[in-house]
Amino acid sequence: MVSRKIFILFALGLVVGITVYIWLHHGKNDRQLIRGNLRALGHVISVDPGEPRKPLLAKIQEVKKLLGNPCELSIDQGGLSGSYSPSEITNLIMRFQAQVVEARLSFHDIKIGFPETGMATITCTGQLQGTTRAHERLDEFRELQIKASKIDGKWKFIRFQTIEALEK
Amino acid sequence: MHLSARSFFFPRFTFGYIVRLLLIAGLALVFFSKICIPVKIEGISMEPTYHNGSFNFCCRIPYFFHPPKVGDVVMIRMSGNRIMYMKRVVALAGDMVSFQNGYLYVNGKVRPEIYVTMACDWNLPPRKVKPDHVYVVGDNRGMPIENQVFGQVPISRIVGKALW
Repeated sequence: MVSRKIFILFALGLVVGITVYIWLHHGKNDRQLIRGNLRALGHVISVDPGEPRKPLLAKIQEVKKLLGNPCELSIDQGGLSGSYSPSEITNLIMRFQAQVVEARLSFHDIKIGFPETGMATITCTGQLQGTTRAHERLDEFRELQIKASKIDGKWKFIRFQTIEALEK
Repeated sequence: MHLSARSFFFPRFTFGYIVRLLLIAGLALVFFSKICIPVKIEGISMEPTYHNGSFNFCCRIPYFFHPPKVGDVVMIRMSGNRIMYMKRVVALAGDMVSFQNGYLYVNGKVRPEIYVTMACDWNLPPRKVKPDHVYVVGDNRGMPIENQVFGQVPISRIVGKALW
C-alpha cells in the first residue's frame, strides 16, 4: 500500500518535472524574446557607479538593435513626444547617462499580448533608480505601454507610452 | 500524543507528512500572494505615518466586502502587484476636491487631517471625483505639490488596504 502511494507520488513528481522542463526549455518563444529585449534595454540604459565611458558608449549602440525606425515616444516626464530615429534615442540616452552617477532601469509585472501576427503589446512597470550628478536620488516608477513589431524576424520596440495611474 | 524533539526536527518523510507539507506550502503561497501581500515601503510620500524602508502587508480582505472608505491607506497597482503606490483615500466619487493654502477642501468644507503634520502650501483648483473613482493623496504634504503623485484613481486599481 505504502509502495503504491510512493509510486503515485513519484509519477506525479515526474509529470510536474517534465512539464516544467518543457515550459522552460521548449525553444525561445516570442514572449521570452520580448522579455529578453526588455532586459537588454534596461541593461543598456543602466549605468553602474564608476562605469568607464568607452564601454558605456559601445553598450549604448546596442540599443539600435532593439528599436524600430522610427520609434514613437509619449513620455510625460521629460516632455518626450513624437517619432524618433534609433540614433536620436541613442543621443537621448547618452544625455541622460551624462547626468547620472548611477542608474538602474528595470521592468516589472510584464504582461505581453499579441493582438495580431507580428505585433505585440506589452504592459509593464518601469522602475528607474539611481543618483544624479547633483546628488539627487532617482526613484521613479511608471506604468508603461509598449508596442513591439517583428521586423526581419526580430522583435523591435516601436512605441513607448507612459500611463498615468493617478489623475490630479 | 508524545512528540519527541528528534521526530520534531527530523521527521520521517511519510506520504501523509509530504501531503501536509505541500498543502501548507500551497496555502501559504496563495495567502501571501493573493490575500495578504507583504510590501516594503520605499519613498517618503507617506511620512510621517509610514517610514521609508518599513514593512507592511497589503490586505485584500476588507475590500471583498465593501469599497474603500475615506481615511483608508490603500495600495494602488500599476501594471501588477509588484510595485504599488501607497496613498490615503481623502474623497469618494462625486466629491469636489481642492487644496487652498495647504488645507484640503472636500465639497467646499475643510477636511481635518490629523495625520498631516508637515507645513503645507499646496493650492489646487476644485475638481470632481469621477464615478467608480476615489481621490488619494500621500500624508507627506511637506513635499512640493509637483513632486507628490496623487489624484483620482479607479477603484479597480486598488489592490488592498495597509494592514496597520
